[in-house]
Amino acid sequence: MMTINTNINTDYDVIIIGGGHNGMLCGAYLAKTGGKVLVLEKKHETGGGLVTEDFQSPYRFNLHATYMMMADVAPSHADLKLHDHSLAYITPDVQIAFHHRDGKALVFHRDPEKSAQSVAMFSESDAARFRTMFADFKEMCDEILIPATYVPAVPALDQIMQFQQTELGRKVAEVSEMTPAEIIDSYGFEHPRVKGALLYLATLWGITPDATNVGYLVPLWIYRMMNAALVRGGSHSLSSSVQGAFRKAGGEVKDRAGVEHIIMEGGRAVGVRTTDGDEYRAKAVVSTVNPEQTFLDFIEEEELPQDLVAAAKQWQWEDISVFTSHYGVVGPAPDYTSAKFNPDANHALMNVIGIESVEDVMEAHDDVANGRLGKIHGRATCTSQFDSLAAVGQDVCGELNTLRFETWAPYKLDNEDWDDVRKDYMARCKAAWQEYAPNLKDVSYGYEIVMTPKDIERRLINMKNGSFKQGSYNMMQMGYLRPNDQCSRYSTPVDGLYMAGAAVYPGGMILHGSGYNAAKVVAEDLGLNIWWQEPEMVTKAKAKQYLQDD
Amino acid sequence: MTKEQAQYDIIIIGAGASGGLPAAAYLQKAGAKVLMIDANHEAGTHVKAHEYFAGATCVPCAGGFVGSTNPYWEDLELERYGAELIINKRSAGLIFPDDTSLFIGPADPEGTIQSLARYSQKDAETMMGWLTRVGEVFVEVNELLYFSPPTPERLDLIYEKLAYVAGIDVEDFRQMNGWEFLDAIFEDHRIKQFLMVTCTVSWVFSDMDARGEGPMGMVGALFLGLGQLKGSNHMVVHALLRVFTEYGGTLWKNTKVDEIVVEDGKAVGVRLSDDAVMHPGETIRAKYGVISNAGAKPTYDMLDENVLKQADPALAQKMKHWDMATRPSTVTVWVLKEPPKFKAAATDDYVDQADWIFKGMDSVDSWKDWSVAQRSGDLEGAFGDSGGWWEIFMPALIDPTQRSPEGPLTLRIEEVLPYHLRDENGKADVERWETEKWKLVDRREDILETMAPGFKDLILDRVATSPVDLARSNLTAVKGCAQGGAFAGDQNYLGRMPYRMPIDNLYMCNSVWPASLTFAGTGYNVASIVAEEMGIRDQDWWVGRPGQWFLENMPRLLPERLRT
Repeated sequence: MMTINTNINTDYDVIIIGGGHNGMLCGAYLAKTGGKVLVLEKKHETGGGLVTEDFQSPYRFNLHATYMMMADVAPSHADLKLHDHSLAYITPDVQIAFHHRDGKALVFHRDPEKSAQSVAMFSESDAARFRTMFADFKEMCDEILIPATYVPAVPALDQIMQFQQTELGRKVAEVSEMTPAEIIDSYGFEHPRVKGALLYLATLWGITPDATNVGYLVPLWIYRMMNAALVRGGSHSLSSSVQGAFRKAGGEVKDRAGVEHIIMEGGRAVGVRTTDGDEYRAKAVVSTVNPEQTFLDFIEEEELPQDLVAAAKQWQWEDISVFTSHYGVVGPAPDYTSAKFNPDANHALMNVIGIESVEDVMEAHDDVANGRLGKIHGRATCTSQFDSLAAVGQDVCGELNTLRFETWAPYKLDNEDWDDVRKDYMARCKAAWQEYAPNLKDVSYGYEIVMTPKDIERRLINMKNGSFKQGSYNMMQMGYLRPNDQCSRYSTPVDGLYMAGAAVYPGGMILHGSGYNAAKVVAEDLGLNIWWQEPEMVTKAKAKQYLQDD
Repeated sequence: MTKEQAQYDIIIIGAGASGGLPAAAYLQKAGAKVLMIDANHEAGTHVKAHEYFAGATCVPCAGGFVGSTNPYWEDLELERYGAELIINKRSAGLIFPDDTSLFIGPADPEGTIQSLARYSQKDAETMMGWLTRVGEVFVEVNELLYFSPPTPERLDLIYEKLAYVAGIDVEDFRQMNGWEFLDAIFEDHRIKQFLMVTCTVSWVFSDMDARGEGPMGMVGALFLGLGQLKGSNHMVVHALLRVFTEYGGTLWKNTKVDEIVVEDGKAVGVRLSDDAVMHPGETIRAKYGVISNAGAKPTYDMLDENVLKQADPALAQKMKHWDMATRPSTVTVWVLKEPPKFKAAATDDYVDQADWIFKGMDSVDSWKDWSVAQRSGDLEGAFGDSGGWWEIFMPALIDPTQRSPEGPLTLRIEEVLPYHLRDENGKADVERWETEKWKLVDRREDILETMAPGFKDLILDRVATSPVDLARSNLTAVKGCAQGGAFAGDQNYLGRMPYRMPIDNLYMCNSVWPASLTFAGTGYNVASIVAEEMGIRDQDWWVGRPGQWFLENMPRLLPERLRT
């Protein structure tokens, strides 16, 4: 074999594998310590799931992540001054509309009282139940679950003991043990449309209604999806802002630098070799890609403890992926039939169709589990309705809008291949949406872009099986067990090797969590200056004994 | 009103890869404190790479890269910042409706002469003479023509050098229009078409009907260094941004400038749009001035009309009516399962390996017809029976890193068609593009099927951009023209916008000479001028001569399989 231009670069403090959201975030915190940090990204652009493509069109298509649940709470925004790096969010007052076939709509707002009023249009008593539930969820999230996102996980037993110390803690523990269906039921909702909508939201990001021991996700998702934001100019502008902070702090990014392996010496990770044959050495290597890649692809099995290899081999991918279709249109924003019933229905960030009962939610999950493309349901968003930068050049000729439709989808289809049915399925999604917003039949579709679960896996290779959280959310892979009990606190059994990314606690969905938490662990180990303060919400939660004091 | 302290030395409006961005990188490295502001979500709007299929990338707008001769390779050490240039030995080729083909490659003289000699031995020898002389005066002409601001003295020297390359008397050169020049020198229509491609549509945009300028465009185009960047042409944007930020530059994105603020006849800053992400509605001040990369008309719109009229009424008038109508682009990008097999490869196997080829027409007269139809808004006439001229790119053929690991790759076709589509009564319409766009893509697929049988079976996906889409996508691309305006009438060379505006401390780097292309002459030139005025031009690293680095490094930059 011929060796080609091997460059050996020895002087980094930290090398981060993967320029996605968490890699960049971890890099930015570490670069600001004064440490020398290198981010290696396989693709030509960093950002991972924060991808916005325009294809030289006026439309900004968020091909993957679009709803930002932690925009107003993640400490990284203030710490890294992300808003100085061209980041701005829009948080619409009207958040979620469930549009019904009979022209009605159930609408959720940022203001829970307005949501309750919408619920009351279906059931007065459910409105009261909604107020109670929302207040419970808000308290659990604000006091415990959100602060817990920005500290490392603790072992399950410690966690349980901690929760037992306070009333609110016990409540969270209780909810955690319930299934999403049980949690919604426990509030006694009676109207099918209200129950269906809440169960849909409770399982929105890929857990089933009967999932056990991940119940704490339900308050988080319901509360945070009623406070979701869009990134102005497209989701990628969020990762650009983190990269801006990283670069300003002296961080270095190499794109098109795929990792071939992690260099081990004396049982210690000392650097990385790229597929181009370049070597980079550092005191610490942080992998933000999935456990299979990290422990099975990048390191020889003999170099690793057996149980770590076994844990990586047992890693489970998600059963539920997503199918998205994106449309750049000349014409007005969607005008829903249901806006006659409730005018707010035309102003929601997320518009759910095809979900009017618990049975609809169950059927949708059943279809996915069985690899079927069944009855169309899903969530639609017209980003340009909220952000003038999502469809630019509107002064040239005609109103433009950028539309996206997203739905749960199986990775593997029964008897079909995604590559063969992608366009047909897009047409079905489009037609279904048009039934609820008939004016979309008359707009001109200049751009149509499809992303199947297979496309997700191909484009974002750490999302194997289209697993957009880089691994299933189940009780064996959550909390202290994400990705396993040896790596969830960011250091690993391998000296010099750390993990972050969606496969590590607290998981995916652009939480600004694992990269942030990992940075602190790496900085402590390397003796780098931790320049940032513990978030106030964490300090408070510790003082109230909601979180373990370290 | 209190005047806040200016935080920046220079504000640059527009982070384009030809003007604003290279200027920003040079000036920041030279010690100026630069703020660059872009209305778009990323820098380098016309040189953005998109992933059309996993791992299969393509730059829909600036498909080819002509920045190889820019001194920034040396001065800014772009390779150290991650840019890797790949040169195709056979830079550009043409295929014709009768499935014949030719190529011209300065790095492959023997191949070139063989390719042309099939059609005319005499033309092949003439072209070899040209290419030899291009090599002799490569650096000098690049410097005069593209990497210096225009002056009447330089124009005389340019004509002298180009006439030398063409092997004819300079007075004859200046007296002939493009068509006469071609007829006087070459006999075969294919070779003439190659030169027309370079002149009228692709790189230099001279007006073929204009005396002196037509020949200048054709011969001048031979001085550009063609290539691709590994990983897509967008990587030059990454490298320039890295230089800019490493030296401390500031970039604001998603932020539109509404107004260039002029006080006491001096540009002192910019006022940002109320809709901007950064500092909406605020005025940001600069000590030494403002550089606009926005082009003539958009810059006019950012200025107080009366201030401009007072400073120079004729220029104000010219900016207001700046002609952008001669090069509206339509782009189609297909995702193909594998590269198509062109029938023309039977005459020349080069065709199957070329990342960059053009489709010509059946005769020189067809070009004349196309030219008339294009300008008059006659879409049918311009498209013709078998499509007009096309620029065809398959970047993955020279750079496998742009191909999907599963095999699919992109094929991009650009075609210049009218912006305003006129009906039989002469009524102009742009909305018709919404439907015409897809009809034309279907017709192109029919034509491609005859040129490369089996083409349609290879198609996985397609994305199309009309001139109207292009105009919307970037506010500088008025009427779908991405090059800063027509190079016809009084808008060529000395007639282009001045780098130094009649308002003090205001500079232009778009709609100036040369064209706003990836060779980034505009950005280099404006940086030189501003640095000179700030007294920071004298830097020990700012010494590269245009084309020098390219000539010295060319053998190393050929991809391995083409090096033999």
